[in-house]
Amino acid sequence: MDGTDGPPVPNGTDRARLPDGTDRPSLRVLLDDVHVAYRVLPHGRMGPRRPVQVKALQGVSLDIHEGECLGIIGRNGAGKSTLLRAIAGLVPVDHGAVYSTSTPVLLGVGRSLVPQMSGRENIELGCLALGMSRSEIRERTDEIIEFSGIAESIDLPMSTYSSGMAARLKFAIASSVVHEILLLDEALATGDMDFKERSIQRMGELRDHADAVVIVSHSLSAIRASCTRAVWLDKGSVRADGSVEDVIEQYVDDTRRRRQARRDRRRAGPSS
Amino acid sequence: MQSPAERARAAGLTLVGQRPRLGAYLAGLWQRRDFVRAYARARTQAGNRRRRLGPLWELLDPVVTMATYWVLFGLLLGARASVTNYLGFLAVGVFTFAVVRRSLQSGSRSVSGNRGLIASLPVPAIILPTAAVVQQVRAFAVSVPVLLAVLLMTGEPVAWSWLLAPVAIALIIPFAWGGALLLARWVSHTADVGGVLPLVLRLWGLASGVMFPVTERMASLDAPAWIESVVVYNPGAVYLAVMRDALLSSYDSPGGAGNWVAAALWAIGALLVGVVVFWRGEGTYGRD
Repeated sequence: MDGTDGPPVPNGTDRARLPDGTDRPSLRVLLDDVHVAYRVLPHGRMGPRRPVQVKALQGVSLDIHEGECLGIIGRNGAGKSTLLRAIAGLVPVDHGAVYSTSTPVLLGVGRSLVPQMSGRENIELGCLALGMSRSEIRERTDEIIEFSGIAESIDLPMSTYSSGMAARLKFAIASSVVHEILLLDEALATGDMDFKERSIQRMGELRDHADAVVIVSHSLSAIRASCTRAVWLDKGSVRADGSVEDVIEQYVDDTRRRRQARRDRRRAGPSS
Repeated sequence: MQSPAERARAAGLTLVGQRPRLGAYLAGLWQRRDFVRAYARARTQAGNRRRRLGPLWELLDPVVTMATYWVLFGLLLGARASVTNYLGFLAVGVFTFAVVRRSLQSGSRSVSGNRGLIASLPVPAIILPTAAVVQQVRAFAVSVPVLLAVLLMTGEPVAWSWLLAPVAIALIIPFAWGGALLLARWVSHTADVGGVLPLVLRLWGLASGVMFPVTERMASLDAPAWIESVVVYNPGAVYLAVMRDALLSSYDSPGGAGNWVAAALWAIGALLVGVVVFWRGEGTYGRD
């Protein structure tokens, strides 16, 4: 895992393994039969309640190599965000394991910001939470403010911001750090068209600096534009894994079939 | 055919989300010390900005509590008669116990109330209860002038023994920190504990002698010896005793120097147990 000479992985054909059993190019992240379940207490009953399990991931196995940009697609609730958080080690894995060369980092500032504090104070908080030193923060603050594009409101409390402004500030803070293994939730790139363009560009820069990238997105065109490989996640398991075009095609076909099935059911008459 | 674990090892990969060793874990906390401090300050200021009197509340809170207790216990229940300088006795009790009570209280909720932070950032969860304790210690530091003013107004002479008060505080903080860590883990998986905690903490304050000299009262109660030792050497009573011995020349706690030994033991014990117990739960706190 010297990790400097591996060429980018061609679409979907990353499973090639040398006779001696080592992977080329070098393996960066390995998911082995990962299961994640959330435990929730059922609503509406008095007296002691037993937690109910909600299965989010049911046996996901993946290899992610250097130079790869892996796109995760799937319907809402398929477990995409949980998968990212499991790779980052942020949610405990119930069964199976995630291995990696360095801790994968999910782009974001989470809830480290305090809405009553000003944007500028929150930049400091967010950067500290991301592990920056005070001197680094002093260096980067102006750049972060500029990128966020909300310089005129930066000294007002964040609670006075519109949701778009807050999202821009959060993205500006989170994207000011470069990570080796980067996990991206594309829902992050919000805001008006101008900011969206700039944030997509910024994400591209982050991708270029990273050794391996995993992206969750609902935008198939975004996956097509930046990924070298795609995985279709369905009900917590991998339904397809391979070249971007293949996987997207299967996913789109399935979506069409579902839509058709719904239409047929409706046409079959209003069943009581 | 290699197993996935073997392949991972061959490629130099390590497990993600694995609990680090205790030393590395604490080093991680130390690395984020600036965040802990900034977060504690931000939370305090955030709380104050919503209030018209702002930071003044950090002084008003103990003063109002003190006034309430003075009327209830001092005047109505006659505790005034049992201590020479009752107002001073009460002030030291209220201000000291507030550090412990509020640290445990907000520390206990710090993890369960901020899961979003732990579940989104690669930070050790111990930063949250720690920030909660830092916040309460700051609040205490701000209120110290009020405490000193009450002592001087009630005629307590400035004495060399006052220098022991910072020592006592230095023992109270690790105790409160350890306790906050312990409770934070407990509340994180059994939220119900958080519901009864405020009540338990107030009763504990009452039983430890915040409002009246419980330990002296015990002697006249003719209780079995073991009950008396439990009351006298419970951490609440111990910390109140060392603070009062240091600050009130008109008051001598029954325990004497033994209290200092107990205070140190409670501090070391609570911190060790709290840190280890909390560390062992790392990796489970991000779960909703």
